[in-house]
This record gives sequence, C-alpha cells and structure tokens, in this order.
Amino acid sequence: MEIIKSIIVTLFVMIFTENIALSRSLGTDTIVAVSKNRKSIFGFSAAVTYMCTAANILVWLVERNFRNAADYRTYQPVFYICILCVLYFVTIMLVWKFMGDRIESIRKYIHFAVFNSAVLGTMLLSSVDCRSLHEYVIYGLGSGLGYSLALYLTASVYDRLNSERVPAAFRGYPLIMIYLGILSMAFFGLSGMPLGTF
Amino acid sequence: MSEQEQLREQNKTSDYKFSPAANFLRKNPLLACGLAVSPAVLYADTLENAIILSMFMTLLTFLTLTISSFIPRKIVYTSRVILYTLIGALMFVPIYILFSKIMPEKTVSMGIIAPLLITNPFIVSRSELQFFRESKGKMFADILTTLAGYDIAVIIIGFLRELLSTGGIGGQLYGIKYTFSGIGYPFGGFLAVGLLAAAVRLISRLVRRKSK
Repeated sequence: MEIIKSIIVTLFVMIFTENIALSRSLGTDTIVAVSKNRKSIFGFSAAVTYMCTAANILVWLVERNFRNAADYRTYQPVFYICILCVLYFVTIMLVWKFMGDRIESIRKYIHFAVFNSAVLGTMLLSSVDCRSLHEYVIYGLGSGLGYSLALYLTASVYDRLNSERVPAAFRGYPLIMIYLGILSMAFFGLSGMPLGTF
Repeated sequence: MSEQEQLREQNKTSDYKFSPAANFLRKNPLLACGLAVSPAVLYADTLENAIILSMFMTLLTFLTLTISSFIPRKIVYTSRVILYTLIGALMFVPIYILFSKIMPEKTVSMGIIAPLLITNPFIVSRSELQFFRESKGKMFADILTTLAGYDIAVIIIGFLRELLSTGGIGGQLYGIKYTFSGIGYPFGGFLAVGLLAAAVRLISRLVRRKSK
C-alpha cells in the first residue's frame, strides 16, 4: 500500500510540480521542433517516455555498481552516454526488425528522442533522487509523461501562436518561448514557492 | 536507394547556404533557431554564469565537432551519431577537470548543466545537417560563428537577467529602483529568450530592409 501511495505521489510530482520541460526547462528545443507536426506528437511522446524509463533502469544498474567509486561524478556522463548509445542502437534494431520499411520515417524521431536533454537530464536527476529500482522506473515514467504533457500543451496552440494575426516579430518561436514561460510560471506555482511580498 | 547513395544525393543538392555572418543575427542559434535553449534558461541567470556556460559549451562543442569531422561518411548514420556523442562524452572529462581546477565552486554549481551539453543540438543534429556537408575551411568558419552567435546571445541574456533581477551586476548595484526577481527563475529565462528573440527578429528585418 505504501509503495502504491509513493508511486502515485511521485508520478503526480514528476508530471506537475517537477515537470521536466516546464519546471526544469529540459528538452524544450525538441518540444519547439516537434510541436509543429501534430501527427507525430503521440509517437514522439511515447518514444521519449520509453527512453526515459528504459534509460533509468540501466542507470540503476550502473549506480548500484559504481556509485561509490572514486571520481565517479566526473566520469558519470561517459557511462550515461554509453547507456544512451546502447539504447539508441537496440531501439533502431528493434524498429528495423518489427517495422521494416517504416524505419526511415521513424528513425529521426528515435534520434531526437534519445539524444534529448530531457532524457539525459532525467538520468542525471534520478541518480541523485532515487535509490531502488522501482523509484528509478517511476521517476523515468513520470518524467516522460510530464514531457508528453508539455509537448501536448505546446502543440495544441502551435497554430494560434504561428498565425497571421500575431505580429511578425513575435510569430512562431518567440511567442512559443513566452507561452512556455507562462506555463512554466503556472507549474512553478504548484510547487508552493512563495514569491516576494510588496 | 541505399542510405549512402541517399546521402550523396543530399550532399549534392543541399538547401543550406553558407552565410557565417547570419549566425549572429538572422540565424542566431539560440534566438532564431531555438537550439540549446535549456542551458541558457536554466543556468544563465547571471552574467558570470552565462560566461562560464558559453566557455564550456564552446570548448566542448568545438573540440567534439573537430574530431568528429574526421569520421568517414561511409559509416552508417546510426553509428556516426553514436560516435559523435561518445567523442563528446570523452571530451567532457578533461574539460570538466580543467574547469574544476580553474573554478571549482562554479563547476560544482553547474550541476547537471555541464553533462547536458554533451548532447547539445550542434553535436547531435547540426553536425550532420549543416557542418559536415561543407569543406573543412567553411566548416570551421561556420562552427566558430555559430558558437560565437550562441555565446553572445547567452551572455546578453545572463546580463539582462541579473540586472533586472538584482538591480546590479556581480554584486555592484546600479540604483535600479524596481527589480523583477522572477526573471532569475526558469520561467523568467523563457520569457527573456522569447522577448530577445522577437527583438532580434525585428532588428534583422530592419537591417534587411535598409540593405535593400
């Protein structure tokens, strides 16, 4: 029962108050790039969630064996990049085996999903916050779902932010950044941090 | 058509036009193209942090791209990208040790930002889409101007965020009466990038109109 409670709380925190894209601003360049095409949102979100969760399982294995090694923090990124490279290779092989010709259309999304600051950021943050395997898994899953929420919220207004009615200087990317800033402010408020009083 | 034949075709008819001067304004990687936004938003909340971030990013990216440019194109795309990031990770270690020796507290304060720079878009995607399609001379000019454009943008953002959030730079106050402490937070970073991006777009349009 305690584990179920901690899973629900962790998921809620990772999706809302500690949202990887809006509270920690990781993976925002891919959000801006992918939100242009609504058809790819679901697939890309699923790919990022899968990468965050699978990578975190491998991070747990590495942390179990090397956490207390000397100078580990200096060499930690090398281990994590190796994990991402293995994941990328394995995913490409699996997609090629099961989807055959469709790999050409999917490959660039796998590429952006793996080498994404949201995935690497999740791995680095979970190495600090998590200890047991289920914590790593839930952390990765929550990060991926939080990223998916941010992507969906951006893609749903992309056409409006890019419309002719918006002044040319703000159209598209500048207004998307301002929109992400306002969303980030709203999510930041969920964390309960008091702002200065007047 | 095999992947290598496709790449040969793409290299022949690339839409990319070499214009290094545009990397500072019209094609600024941070303010126009939206590349590597996360480090600028998260870490460049003061001028000092922005300078450190730009130094780390430039050193890591330039060395990684220089070495990666020698990887033969006949290796499949999937393996090439894996090699680029592995080279980035290997370059990270000595650069991190160097920064730890020169400025140990600031390097620790970078936290996860430093390792995140290994998978920055210049290494992971711009390399294949732009840099490695050019001759070596043009490639170096392009890389250096792109990184310089990014660094200038990050430093301006750090300067403005510190000035507006604290009323001064590096502890030196300038008598600014009203400050906006929120601009030091990540949401303030997004707003700063968005507003500066709009300003850069306006300026580049005015410059283009004048030159016509």
